[in-house]
Formats: sequence, structure tokens, C-alpha cells
Amino acid sequence: MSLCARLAPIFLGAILLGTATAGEAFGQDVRLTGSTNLRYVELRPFVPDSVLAVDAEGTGLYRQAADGGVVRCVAGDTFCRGTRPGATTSTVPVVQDLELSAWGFGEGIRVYGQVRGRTGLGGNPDIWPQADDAFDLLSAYGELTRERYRVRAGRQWATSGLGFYNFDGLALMLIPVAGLSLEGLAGRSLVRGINEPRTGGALAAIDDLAPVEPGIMMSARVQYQPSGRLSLTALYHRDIRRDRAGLYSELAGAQGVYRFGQASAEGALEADLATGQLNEARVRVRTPLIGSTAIAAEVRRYRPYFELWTIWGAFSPVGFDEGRVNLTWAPGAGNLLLRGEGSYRAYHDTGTETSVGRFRTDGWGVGLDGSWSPRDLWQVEGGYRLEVSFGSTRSEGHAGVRRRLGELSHVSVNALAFQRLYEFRLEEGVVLGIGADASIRLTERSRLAGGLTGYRHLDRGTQAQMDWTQLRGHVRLEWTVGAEPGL
Amino acid sequence: MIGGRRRVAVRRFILPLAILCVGAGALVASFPRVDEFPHEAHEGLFPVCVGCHLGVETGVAAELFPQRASCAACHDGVRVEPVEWSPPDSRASNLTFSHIRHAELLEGRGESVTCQSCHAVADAPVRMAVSEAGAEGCLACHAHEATDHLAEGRDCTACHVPLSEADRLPVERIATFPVPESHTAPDFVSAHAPETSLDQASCATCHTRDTCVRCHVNAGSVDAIVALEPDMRVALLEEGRDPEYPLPATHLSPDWSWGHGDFVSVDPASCGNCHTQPTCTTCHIEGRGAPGSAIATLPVPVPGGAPGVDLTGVERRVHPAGFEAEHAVFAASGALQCTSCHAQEYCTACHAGTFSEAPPSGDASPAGSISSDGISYTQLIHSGSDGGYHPANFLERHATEVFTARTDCQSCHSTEAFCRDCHAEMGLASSGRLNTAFHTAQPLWLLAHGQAARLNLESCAACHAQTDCLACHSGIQGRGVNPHGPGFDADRMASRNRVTCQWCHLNP
Repeated sequence: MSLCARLAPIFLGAILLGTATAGEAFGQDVRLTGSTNLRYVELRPFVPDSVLAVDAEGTGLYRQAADGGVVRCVAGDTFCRGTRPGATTSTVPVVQDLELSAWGFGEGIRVYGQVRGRTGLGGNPDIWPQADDAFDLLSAYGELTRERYRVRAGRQWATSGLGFYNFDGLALMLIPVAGLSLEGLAGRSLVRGINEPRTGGALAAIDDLAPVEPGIMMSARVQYQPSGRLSLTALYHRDIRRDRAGLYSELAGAQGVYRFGQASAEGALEADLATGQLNEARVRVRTPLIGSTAIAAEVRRYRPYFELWTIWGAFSPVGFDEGRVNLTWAPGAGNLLLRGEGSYRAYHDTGTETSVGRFRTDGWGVGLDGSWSPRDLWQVEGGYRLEVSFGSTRSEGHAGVRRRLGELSHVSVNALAFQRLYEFRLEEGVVLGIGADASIRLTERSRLAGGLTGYRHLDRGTQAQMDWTQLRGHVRLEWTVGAEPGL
Repeated sequence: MIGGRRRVAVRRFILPLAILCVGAGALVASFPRVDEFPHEAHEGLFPVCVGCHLGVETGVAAELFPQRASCAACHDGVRVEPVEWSPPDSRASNLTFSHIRHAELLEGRGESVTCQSCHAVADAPVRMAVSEAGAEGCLACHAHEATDHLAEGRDCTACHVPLSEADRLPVERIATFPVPESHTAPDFVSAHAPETSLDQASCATCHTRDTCVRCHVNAGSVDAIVALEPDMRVALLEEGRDPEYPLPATHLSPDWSWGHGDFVSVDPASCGNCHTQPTCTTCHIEGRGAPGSAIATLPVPVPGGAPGVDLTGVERRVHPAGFEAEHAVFAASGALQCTSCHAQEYCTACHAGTFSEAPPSGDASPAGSISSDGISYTQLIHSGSDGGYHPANFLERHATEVFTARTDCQSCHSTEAFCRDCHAEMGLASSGRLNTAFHTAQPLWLLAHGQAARLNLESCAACHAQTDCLACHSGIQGRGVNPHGPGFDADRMASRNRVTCQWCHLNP
């Protein structure tokens, strides 16, 4: 990474800070919020390896190397090939987030922007996602708000029951009568989480069949809230190729919540109109029980959703039906909170079972976690969870003690242990982690936080499996400068 | 100068003298008064009690005891030696008693009653062996239904006047009032409002307005409190005592913070017993997330009044436990106006994807101010986090989340770009077809992979490029293996995006 790229976030921060200062000088009010996040991460990526065929034990296509790893031996080839953990490598990614909000241009007019800069301060940046993406414009829009409508133009976030994504375009929200709002969005769609168009290169870098046309999205939402107890929303979303040769997605959804005191019932539907199937249907009821207990029960049908530019939807993925119950108990003065949960799910029939290998078609999970604050400044927490599932099974526990040191400051010590079992790749042993983190308030509107955790992978079955012995740390500086809009 | 000296003299001598006098007076007054009148020695002189105690019949307090002049009629120093006797003051008591009313009631019932019925010393041989009437005499008729004199529900007014009217009772006596057992019940402080006028009057037997003002921030607007009289003696006793704000049973629910708004709207007066508006605005900064009208129903702090519950620095979970993972429907349906309390960055800190970080200001608000509670978003979600949304070392643990769909990865991440990019860097992603021994190292994996793929196709897409699958499943560039499952609606999908169909079919 070049020096310029490394220093880009700093330049960016300086520009925005200058903008904020200049804005105030011209009578506008500006607020700038930032966080600088620095991590230290150690990993041991798998690397391709080969061994002499004569050194591999067994016969056939798959054999075992001396280090316990499975290698693939093609008849006639001198070498068998496989993977093994490479050398421990580290990286120090730095993410700089800046959020700017400016007002004072007139009643209800605001300018908002949020940017993210990335750089690395050492090690191998490739092992951290998007480390080579030095700059992201997450949002940048102008806004006009009146009592009955709101208009936004620019790069902005759409938050709906279909997810959370940003786009470049126009958003108009109308409130014809109290309790009813209509919203329409239109513009160029962006890849979720990537903040760039479908043709921006991120998808092309990892897939030969990446979209070649940008997407144009349109979305409509109706929200009805006749009282504080009931809220209903219906929405429709369509993302079409710019050349109109097809759709990238066509979805519909509905959500509703009914609240009565501390009890609530909620329901949600998401449907892929291209496949004609429900991706999500859930009903959840939560209510207090006697004393200090509350219970929540949920039934859910889930099926994964894939955009239409991929072939995955044509492979007829199936989902599962799931029931989940959790019970919360907070006796006494509320300084003890215990929460237990159980769930069971049954996968739908795939129509593909063979006698060669069958995978489990159900799963279940149990968990218990709690926190206890014997004194206001102290908090002890811990938990255990066992999740048995198709594809991956995990058993894990954690515990921690936290001491508050005034507002926005704390110090804590944490420990965790976990074990996992992949159905497609067996791994053995238990990973233990012990760490500490702390935060300290620097000024009225700034804070410094950080932590360091060491992990040790015990009883690793073979030298060929992933080694999770590693060190991880983070430092975060949070700050806000500028004015407050007030009320 | 001279004036100054005089002032010094006043300070030096008169003030101590005054204090000494007051002290001495108080000392004398503190000795118990003894009824020294020898009734028995006068038995032959007074045939009836009302001769001296006419007030018993007339109800006139001044006639309840004879005057000194009456004694002097005999004790004139000539016939009989003079005596120093004076009638006692009315007793310092909060008891109420009417001789006339009692006599009428008893006579009305045909019962015979004399002074000795109550005042005679038990087993006394002479008529005028009398003393003050004891409480047992009252209880002979005023028998409580409950065995305890202080039992809940008793009509205290039957025997007692309101404390404010018993103005001769000293502070020391008030301080030693017995505490009814009902007052020690765990929930008494939370639910002690008088329900009837009788209850109200009973409260007034031992309490004045000053008792309530110590804790009630809305004392000035509660009828039951306003109905009580103020009293300096009680005010002195309450001075320096901390207010008590125990958690009512309703507040013990784990989701109390979550649903307390309904309680406020239904019964704001009840909230106003302990809470002032600053209690609300500790969390609802500048009224965010709560109707201003609801907050306005609570009283404002009064200088010198009860402080009310102070939540400053108290950690609280506003949303129910686990809400961070289950908030989607609430946010999407509009049931919660998230932006009332949270800045957009609060959402994007997690939802912007790609290992985003915790928001910069904890519970960030639209105004961007750092919340006063000091709870960072990270701490709310997972203690021991690496500083982001996910728990510590989520990298190693995330597979189960994917397979169980407990976390909606697609809500934030592009599974194609994000997952596969990382897996590739970690040496996990496929670089072509099935060239490595990843899948359980089973030679026949190829035959079994269909079921695994349909059960969790996201995990396939996290490592494999689409072209890996097309090597077999394409009718054009592969072996024509049909991947479509039962019920696959080819026409429906083709009508949405025929281009994708063309990866496998010449004429979809």
C-alpha cells in the first residue's frame, strides 16, 4: 500500500474537520463524529502444500499425510496435494469512520455524510477483508424535512424489513395523516456491505459471472400506526438491470407489531417474488410471567434468499422450520438477570438424499446466560451455549467481570472457551481465550477504549488443521466535536 | 464603641443565661407529673365525684378539675393548714375521650356506669381509691377484631385524634410511636396509599404531611397528602432521613424498561410519586423516544423537596434482553421510532458491513451527544467483544451462526463478495473444482453434496464461485446435471432474469 493510501484517512479527517470549522464560521452548525479503530490480529491461513505420494498413507484418491492432513492423490502423480496451516501472520488494520451533520441552511434542511477510510499499519493486509479498499462513501445526502414530508437526495441508507442497504438516489416520505406514512425510494443500487455499484469491481474480483450492468432499484413502503400499540408495514422492492434485460431482485415483505404493556406480538413476512417462495415468516410473542420472569416464544420458517444475478436460487435451496423459547428471570432489584433459551429446527426435504452420505436434517440448541451486578459499579456475567446443527456444531462458554470507572470508563476481564465441529471438516480441541479490555473518558465527548485477548488452541488433533492460537487486540478512539441542534 | 461592648456583654452573659433557664425549664418539665391529690383522705368530704369534676358532666374542660380556690375554702390556714395544689394541665395525649358521650351510649343501652367503673383501683376497700383509667378499660368495649392493637384496618380515630391536633405531644413521644406490623411488609412503601377516608384518618393519627414529603415528589398534588396537616415536630424527626424508593413489584420485570411507557400513559400520577421529569430525561435525552406530554405529566423537582429517583449513572437495559439480535421487526414495522434515540451511525456501525466497528459514542443520539449512561454499544451486545458487533473471535465461531441462520448475515454483508474474499485469503475458498480434500475427505462427497448444498447453499457460495458448479450443472459448458429441485418454477424465474438462465441453457 502506498504512503498516500495509508495517509488517506488522515487527509480525509482533516478535510472534514476543516469543513466543520468553516461551516461554523459561516453561521451553519456542524457536528463531526469520528472513531478511529485499530486492531491487531494474528491468523494462520491455510496454504497449498504437497507431499510425495510415497509418503502418504493409504490408497485411493484421498490419503493421509504424515502431519495428519488429508491429501488428494491423483493416480500417476508424484505428489499428493492438500493444505496445511501456514506461518502465523499478523495484520494491523485501521478503520477511520467520520460522520458529518450540518444544518442551519433553513428550517428542516440538513446535509449529512458518513465516510470510512481504511489503511494498514503493518503485517499482511490481505488477510483482513477490504483492507485494500482505502475509502468508502457510506452516505452523503441532503435532506429537507417538513411536518408532512421528507425528501433526501444522494447516497443514503434504506432500512426496511428486507435489510439494510445504501443506494444513490432519491427518497420521498409522505405523512398524509398522522399514523400513516408512505415512502418511495429510487436510484442506483449498491452491493450490500460493499458500498459500490454491482459493476464496481468487488464482485468481479471474486466471481466470473459478476453482473455487468448496474442495477436500478425502486422501493415502496406503507407504514400504518393507528395507535402506539399497533404498527403495520408493507413494502415492495424491485432492482432491475439498467439495460432492462432482467431483474436483480423482486421482493415483498410485511411486518407488524402489537404491543400491550410489556407484552408484544410481532410477525414478519419476506417473499422472493422471483421464486414465489417465502424467505422468512416468523411470529414471536413476548410476555411477562409471574414475578420477575418473562417468556418469549417464536416460530419461524426460513429459506435463504439469493439475488437473481446468481445461479444459486435455481439450485432450489431449502430452509427450515424452527421453534424457539426463551425465559428471562430478573429477581430482586434487577441486578441479576438470567436468560435461558432452547430451540429446535427441522429442515425441509431436499429430495437429494443418497445412500452415500446423509446429513442430519434437524438441529437444536440450548443456552443459558446471565449477568449479576452485586454493586452498581461491578458486573459479573457468563453464559454457555450448545448448538447442534447441520453443518456446524458448537459448544462455548464465556465469563467476565467488569468494573465501571465512572461515565464512559470501565475495565473488564474476560475468558471464553469454545469447541466446534464442522460436518464438512472435522476439527478437534478446545480454544481458550483470556483477555481484558478497558475504556476511559478523555473529555466530555471523547473516549479511548481498547482490549487484548490471547487464545490458545488445546489438544489440536493434527498439525494439519487450523490453529487458532493467536493474539488479538484493539484500540478505539471515539470523539465528537461541533454543535448540537437542540430542540 | 460602647454599644459594641454592650452587645458583647449580651452575648457573653445574657445568652448563656437564657439557655440555662430554658434548659432548666425543660429539665423541670421533663419530670413526670404526679397526681398528688389524696382522694382517699377526702372520701368523707365529697359524696359525689362531680362535686369537683363537674366537667365530666358539662364537657367543659376548665371544669374537669377543681380550682385552687376550692381547696382554699377549707385549707384557709385557720381551720386547716393551707396547701399548694393546682389543677393539672390537660394531659399531653393524642387520645380522644368524651365522658358525656360514653355515659349516653351506655345509658342508652341500659347499662349502669359510674366513675368507679373505670377509675376505681382494683380491689380497693374505699370508694375514692381511684386512679387514671387504663387502656384495658377502653378495650373492654372497643375490642379490636384483630388481636393486635396496631393491626391493619383498625379505626384509629375511635380513640385517637390526628397527630397534628395533639399539639402537646412532645417530639420524643412521637419518635417512639410503635410501628404497625403492616408497615414493615416488603411492599408497604410501594403501596401504602390510603384507599378510604377511614384509612386516611388512621394515617393522620401518627403522620403529618411532613412524613410524606420526605419521599413523595408530587406531595403537593396528592389529595391524601394535602389533606394532612403540616407539623414542625414531625418535620424535625424527618429532617436528615434519606428518602426511600424501593422497586415496586411491577418494576422487577426483566422487561420493565421496555414497556414502562404504557404505565406512564395509564397512570402518570403513580409514577409521579417517586419520579420527577429528570428521571425520564436521564434516558430520554431532550425527550427523545418518549412523548413530551408523557414526561410533562411528572412533577418537576422542588428545591428542598423530595429528590425523587435518580437514575444518573445507573446502568439500564432499555430494550429486552437479546433485543440487539431481534430488533428487526420492531424497527421495520415502525413500532419503534429508532431514530428518536439513535443516530443513523448507530445502525451503520453494524449494518455497514465489512467488519464495521462499534459506534463512536456509545448510545449515540441524533444530536451526537455521548450518552450519560456510559454503556457502549459493544458492551450492550457482548462483553469481551473485539470491539465490533460480533462477540470475541467471531471469526472462529461464525460457522454455526451461518448454518442456523440465527444471524442474518445478508442483512449487512454481501455473501458473495465478503465471505468468499475472506475465505480465499484464509485458504479455504475453492480455486476451481473439487481439487482439495476439504469436504470430510470423502471420495464420494460428490455424490452426497447435493443434499448439503440444498440444506445450506449460503455455505457453498461462501467458498465456491458459480463457475465451480456450472462445471457439472450447466447444459452448455458442463455435464448437464439438473440442479433444479421439485417445484422449481423455471418460467417464473426466467420471466425475472432470463440472462441468468442462459448460463446453463441455450434457449431458456
